[in-house]
Amino acid sequence: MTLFSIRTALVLALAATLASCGGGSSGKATFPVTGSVYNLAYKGLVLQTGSQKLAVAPNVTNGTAAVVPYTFPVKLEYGDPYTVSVAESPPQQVCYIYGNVGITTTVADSAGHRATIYVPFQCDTKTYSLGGAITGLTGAGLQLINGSTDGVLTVAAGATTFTLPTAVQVDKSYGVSVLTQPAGQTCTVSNATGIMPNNAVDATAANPITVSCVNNG
Amino acid sequence: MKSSILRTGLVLACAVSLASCGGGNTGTLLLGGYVSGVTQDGLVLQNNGGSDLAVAANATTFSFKDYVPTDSVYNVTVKSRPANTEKCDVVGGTGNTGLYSVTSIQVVCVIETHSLKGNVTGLNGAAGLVLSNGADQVAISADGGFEMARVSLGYPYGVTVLHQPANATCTVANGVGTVTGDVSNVAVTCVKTGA
Repeated sequence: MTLFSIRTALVLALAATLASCGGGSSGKATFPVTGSVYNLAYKGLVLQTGSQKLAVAPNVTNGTAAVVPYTFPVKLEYGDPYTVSVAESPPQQVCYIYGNVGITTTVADSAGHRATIYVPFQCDTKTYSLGGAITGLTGAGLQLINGSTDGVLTVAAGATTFTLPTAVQVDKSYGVSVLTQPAGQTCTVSNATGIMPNNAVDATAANPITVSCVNNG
Repeated sequence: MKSSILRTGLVLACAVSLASCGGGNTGTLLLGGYVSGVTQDGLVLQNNGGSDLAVAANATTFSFKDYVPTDSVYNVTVKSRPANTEKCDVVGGTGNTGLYSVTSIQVVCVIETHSLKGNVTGLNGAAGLVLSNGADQVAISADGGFEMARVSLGYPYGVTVLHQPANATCTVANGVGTVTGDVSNVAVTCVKTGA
């Protein structure tokens, strides 16, 4: 009898202790996992916390990407450890923790450590090299440009390919022009313009940018 | 012989000690900061109207050779700016050194830009012409004048046809060059194709 009552009391005490540990919905504070994504310009971003994945859609108006807020559906409880990471970037972009190029996962933290869980990310649109083929170039001094902002490329006599000095962002237009003709020759550019695809443009392209040079006179 | 060596040594020691004190500017604190938009020589800075500091092309930082004293007033000004700039502004250029070096002054130069304009003929209402100068695009819907984004002085430009209009082929003349002033002679000529 006495033994039994002690045992019962112990069990009850244990149950009470477990409840206070947050076994059920005990009214403890919960923490949504939130944040923002800067410069998200393309579809395909998936963020992850624990086993939850969340697709984040871009909001682009007139070529300007608005800051996109996100909130994971399931909330954490006080003390829950968490990480937030980039599970997948859009194909045209690379996304990472805001201001930390190359770092795609937050340092591990626990819910309640800070008043709110807010993890900002940012995405950079990929850039690719722009170049093509050259035929017939024997003179020195050929200079090629892609408009105004990507620098000037001086091409050596005899070159059969070229790559402009500055990579071009996906979906930006390009237009290759001859800024300076080589000595004794005139060069023209075919397939000179286009919109940057999600890969490099070079001499191996299907219809490569081609600079064709012929001797003057 | 020995005494002359000794004397020379003393003179050198004196010179060194004077130099380390920076002559007239007897200070221990560095005064400097950051520059941007400097692609040519010609930027000259002064502190309190003192000796010139020439900042070379493509520099991103500067610091005055003379150290400045603690608790002293500094006033950094632009004496002259590179020839290709519209202006060079100093941000945070005045203050009191207090106890610490000042390395947060910003000199922001803005490179002079020029317009890039031209004229389209022969379009006769054909739709779809898009001109580009590298990443800058302008859609053209009618014959007449057009204007691309402004271009920095000394930079190249190359206006090309990014997208031909329906039922016409356009070619660009005077589309390539280096900006030395406003450009207004880019000529785009369109010719009807097919029936």
